[in-house]
Amino acid sequence: MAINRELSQFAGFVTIDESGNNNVGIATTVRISGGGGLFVGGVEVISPTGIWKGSSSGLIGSQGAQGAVGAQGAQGAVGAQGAQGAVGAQGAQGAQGAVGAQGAQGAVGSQGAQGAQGATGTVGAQGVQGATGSAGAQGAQGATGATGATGATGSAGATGSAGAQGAQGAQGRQGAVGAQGTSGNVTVVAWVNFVGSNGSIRASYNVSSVSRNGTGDYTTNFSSALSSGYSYALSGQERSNSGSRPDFIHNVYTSGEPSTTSIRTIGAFHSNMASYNDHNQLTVTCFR
Amino acid sequence: MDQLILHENEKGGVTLCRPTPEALETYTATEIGFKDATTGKPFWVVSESNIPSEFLFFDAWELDLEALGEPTGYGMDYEDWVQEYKK
Repeated sequence: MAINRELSQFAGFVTIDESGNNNVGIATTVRISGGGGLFVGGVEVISPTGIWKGSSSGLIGSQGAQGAVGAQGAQGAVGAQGAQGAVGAQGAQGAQGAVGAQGAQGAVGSQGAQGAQGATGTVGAQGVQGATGSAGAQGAQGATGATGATGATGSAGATGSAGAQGAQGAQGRQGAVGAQGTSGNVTVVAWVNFVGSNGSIRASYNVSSVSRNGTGDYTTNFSSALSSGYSYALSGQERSNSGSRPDFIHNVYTSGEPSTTSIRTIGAFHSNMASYNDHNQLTVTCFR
Repeated sequence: MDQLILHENEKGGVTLCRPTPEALETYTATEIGFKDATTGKPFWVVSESNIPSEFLFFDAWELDLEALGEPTGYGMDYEDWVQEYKK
């Protein structure tokens, strides 16, 4: 407080009542009475003896003596849970567990190798006899019958060949007799016309040569062999010097059995074959 | 002249074999001789000019083997001839 001011400088704030009360006012609300009380807002707050007269509100007295120990309070609420404790030490190894349950059955194993071949079985019983075979097929139609000899009535066709043998099993019945062969067409298979006196050949078919073995004795040789059983026709004619037509028809015979390669013929004027004679026209025709 | 085939026959006489014109179109006289002469017997192929032209005494003919010389061939079995010469 080193600053000293003139009271007048605070005239606006401090008033003094000199009317006998001697009150000193400060501003408009605080007044100190002449008797020594202090008033605030017209309300005595401190008596001239120094006792507090004002409102006790908001006033705190000096601390009193310590009171007696109060009754024990009610138990407090449960405190918050404490922090988790540190991890404890590892426990000792436990005892060995019980034996586990039995495992499931395993998968089926792969197939085993094939076994060795068994021993040969005993011979089976003899089978029953087979059924009788069916009848053989009918025989093929008989070959064309041979043509009958010249002049005579033609011979009947040869009997057909036998039927084929039946199928396996009991032998089949013999096939039916083939149908009678039809009369075949006459086919000339060789022929020749030659001069009897010297064997000179006029014309021929399938004849390779004519051999003169002697007077009236000739062999006609075939170029290709004929099938056996062929038929033949022989003719011999003599022509006189006076006319163009033959005057005599002579006898011609075969000598021996004709073969498939040749036929031998004999010519004669007389049927008793007393002498052989050459013919001017001699024809040998073979056919079937 | 035609070619003829001569050979001896079973009577000891001569056989005069004359090939046909149709056969000569395919075979020679010798090939025909192999077939038509007596099997196994010799034959000679001769020209017609070399034989007598008169046949009146043909049955009296004889083969002049000396004049004929070596035979042209010998008659063959037909089946053998087919195998050898058949055309």
